[in-house]
Amino acid sequence: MLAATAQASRRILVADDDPVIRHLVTTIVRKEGYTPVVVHDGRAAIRLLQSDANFRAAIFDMLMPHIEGIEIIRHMRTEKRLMRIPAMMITSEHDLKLMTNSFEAGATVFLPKPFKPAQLQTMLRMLVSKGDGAEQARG
Amino acid sequence: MLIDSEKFEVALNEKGVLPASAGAFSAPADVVDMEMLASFGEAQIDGEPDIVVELIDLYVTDVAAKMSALRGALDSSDGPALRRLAHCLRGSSGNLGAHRVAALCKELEYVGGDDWRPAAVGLLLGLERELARVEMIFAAERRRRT
Repeated sequence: MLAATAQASRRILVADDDPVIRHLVTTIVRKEGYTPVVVHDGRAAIRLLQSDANFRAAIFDMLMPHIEGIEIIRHMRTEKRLMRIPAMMITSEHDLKLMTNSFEAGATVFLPKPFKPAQLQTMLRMLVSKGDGAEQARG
Repeated sequence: MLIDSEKFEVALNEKGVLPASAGAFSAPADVVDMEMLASFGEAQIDGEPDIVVELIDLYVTDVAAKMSALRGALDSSDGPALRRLAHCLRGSSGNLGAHRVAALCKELEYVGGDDWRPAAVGLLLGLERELARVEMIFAAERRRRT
């Protein structure tokens, strides 16, 4: 049931406090045929996830007001209904330690800024396919 | 108190506070990586407004708000707010190809020590000048596209 819901959903959660990056990400999400569900900070993302788990994937900025992207991902990996949602971390930092921490927290893919649309498109496709693959493996 | 920005800048230069890049003459290609900016055309959805124009408009509006907040953070000696704002501005600037603005933001983000304000003042001044150049180039690109 969970698998069917996750794969059928075309909704992608986008959480970013920067209006430029947010517009760019949501446009590419739409161009790829998905519906972006947009929040502007980490607290709003957590609130939304408390009542809504119907997302094919999630894209988080690392540094956001109130709650950082990495904390949201950590939270998602502790909740059964959220742990299946693959998550992308976007950040301006090119720090290997941060990348390692993100993967340890449960990030599926990591995209450093600056990025071009083609890079985001590739990462988005990878994100969704990894999520779908994990669903199929679970059966 | 009103400050004569040119005199202030000369004084900062003499003290070595202004970043070396801040006073240099800049060719447009040095100010904005136009190839990076143009790459966002790849995200264009048919029938929708020009995404590059939309991104430029969002950026210019956001920069005005962030610069005002940065000045406020400096006035109130709020280092954490200053660093957070500089970090946020770095992300969008770098992504739109304004790499020198991004570099100045990174310097501002990492100003530290007990006496961080003079360095922050110099960097903010450099940032204002660099942003003026970026906005001129963005305005020209916007006109070309509309």
